[in-house]
Amino acid sequence: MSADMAVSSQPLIQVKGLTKHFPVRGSLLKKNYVRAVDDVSFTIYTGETLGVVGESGCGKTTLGRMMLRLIEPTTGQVLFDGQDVVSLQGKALKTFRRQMQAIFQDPHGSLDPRMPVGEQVVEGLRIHGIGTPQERHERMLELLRQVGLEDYHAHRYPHEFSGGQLQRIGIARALALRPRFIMCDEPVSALDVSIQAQVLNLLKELQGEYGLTYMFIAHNLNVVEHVSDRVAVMYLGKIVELAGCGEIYARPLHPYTQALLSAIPIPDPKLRRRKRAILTGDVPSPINPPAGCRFHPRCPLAIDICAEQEPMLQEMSQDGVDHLVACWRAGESSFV
Amino acid sequence: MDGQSKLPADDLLLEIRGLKTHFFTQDGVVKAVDGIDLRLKPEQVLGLVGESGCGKSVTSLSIMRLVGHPGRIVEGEIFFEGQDLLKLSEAEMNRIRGNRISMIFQQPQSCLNPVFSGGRQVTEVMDIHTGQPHDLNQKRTLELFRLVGIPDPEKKIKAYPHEMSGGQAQRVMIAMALAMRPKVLIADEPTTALDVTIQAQILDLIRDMREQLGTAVILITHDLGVIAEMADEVAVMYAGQIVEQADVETLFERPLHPYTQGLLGAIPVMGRCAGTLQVIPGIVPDLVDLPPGCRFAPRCAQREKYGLAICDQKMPEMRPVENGGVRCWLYQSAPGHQAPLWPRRRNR
Repeated sequence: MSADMAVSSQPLIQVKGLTKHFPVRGSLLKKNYVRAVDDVSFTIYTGETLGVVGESGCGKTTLGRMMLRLIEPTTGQVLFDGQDVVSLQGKALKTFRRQMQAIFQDPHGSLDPRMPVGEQVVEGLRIHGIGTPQERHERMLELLRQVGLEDYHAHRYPHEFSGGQLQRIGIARALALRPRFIMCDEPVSALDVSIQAQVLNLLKELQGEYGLTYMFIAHNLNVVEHVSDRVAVMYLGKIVELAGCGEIYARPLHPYTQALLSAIPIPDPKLRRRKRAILTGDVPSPINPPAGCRFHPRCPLAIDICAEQEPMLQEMSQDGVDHLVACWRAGESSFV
Repeated sequence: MDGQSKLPADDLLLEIRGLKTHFFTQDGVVKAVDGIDLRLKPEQVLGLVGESGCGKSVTSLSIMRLVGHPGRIVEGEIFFEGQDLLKLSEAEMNRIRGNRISMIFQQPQSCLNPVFSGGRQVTEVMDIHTGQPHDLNQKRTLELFRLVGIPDPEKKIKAYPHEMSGGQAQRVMIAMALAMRPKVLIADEPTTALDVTIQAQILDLIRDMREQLGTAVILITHDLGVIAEMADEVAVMYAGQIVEQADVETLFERPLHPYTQGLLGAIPVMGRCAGTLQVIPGIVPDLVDLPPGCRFAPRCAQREKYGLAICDQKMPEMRPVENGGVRCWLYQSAPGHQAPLWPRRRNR
């Protein structure tokens, strides 16, 4: 996303061994857990966009919410600018929240239907006691204009807007506190193609203007690839591959990434007869994920070790391009 | 006897002429489908593409005569196997639905009855439409489950919708839709609710089924990628009308209508990492209060580029061009208006 601005090598967020297990009903003696996110570690650098992609139930939303402390992690650390977010309490947590904001998937569901949108945009400022009412009003108008809305929109209620406009309001609200980091959780998947492009372009402009850092969660690889500097691919609560966006497209090493890439319908009828790798079966349940590599029951390349031992994320860089992959057979062969 | 001359050509399976489906709401008349013509040949996949609210789903519901209150088909003809579906009685229509024409939907789990097993719901279709004994139909259900690739079909035939994944539920829906070997399958966003790897499986299945059973498919989707993978012929809908129609290669290679061009430019394509996406400014018009001229005019960049005045005032006709048709003033003249562009030349 930020080809025109420098991505620094300064880490903004470091996630270390982040894990979330949700308890679910089990037998009397044994409690079962949904392993939504399991021992995930990665770094987000200042000014970059990290794309997180995966199918439903892979834990991408849980991961994003834990980083914002919207849900409490089971174990693990999230360091924001070197400070551990997980241990923050009370006032310190509240002050910290200014720095991180979120944009959600369902623009209707994430706004209050009974409050004029203008008030919602600057509600954060009011909560944090920033500025006088007059200053807040001015800031609100400034924010609305910035996301392409007009002054008169401020007094309207959410039901008076289209999905694309509501998403713009959501973005204005996220910007109000001048955060450094915005977690975008499927911000365009509820929108039509033509509106989706408008919102993606807006996010990109704002990033250039304010030097924002994004984590962009989506299931649509096309969109993720379009906006991200680096892409993490998740499968059943684990990151299976992480690389620069051009790199992951040109040289996908994990068989799951290869399958994902080849499953995307390409808007070009001439490529219809291309060779594709189509996975069989469904994603297994995260309650009792398969032993060893979680992908092995669906993996066409699986060998004995895959069922026994879990592969760790390891460096597979080539020509100085970062590339991490968790696969016993990474780089050996490709099945596409 | 005037019906004779209006009968569709022999090579057409389904022909829609001038279909208008309007919804009579408190806010006014919503012209969800406003005069569309479509032709479907046997074994063809016809893609119907457009954004939310463009009328693509209402079109499919109109074919099945499933439009509910306050909607009504106000005009048009739908010819299927030589008869106008809109003139049939409800009982006659029931013999066609699920039998000669069937349909699958976006949310497979909510389209299945939660209190009956998937297998029973598939068998029911055959119990209704064939005179065959129930246990024979049950055997056929098992075959169908195997055909649509449900793993462990003997066991899964007893599974209830909540015990299935989204992909499996869609397979059951497809088994149900194909049970009677229909001539036409209407697939309304069949993969939109599914993950991309499952989507690929289901699209493959629909393609296989068409080849094996010779079913023609009307595929409704907002995803141009899915269209490119599946369709033979494509109709692009905007605000209740078809604005462009062409075979799939032509449409993607040389789109004529500014809306089609905009749609194609707005999708991010893999491998072109950065860059700004082309944008269609503005939003779709209100279907109650439509602009008098071309419905796309308020958002059209080409109109400004060529300084066309007529677009606001008069609706362009659907004009035939090579391999299709287009509804746009860029390619047609009228009194006081000279078309600035030549369309693809029509040579046949």
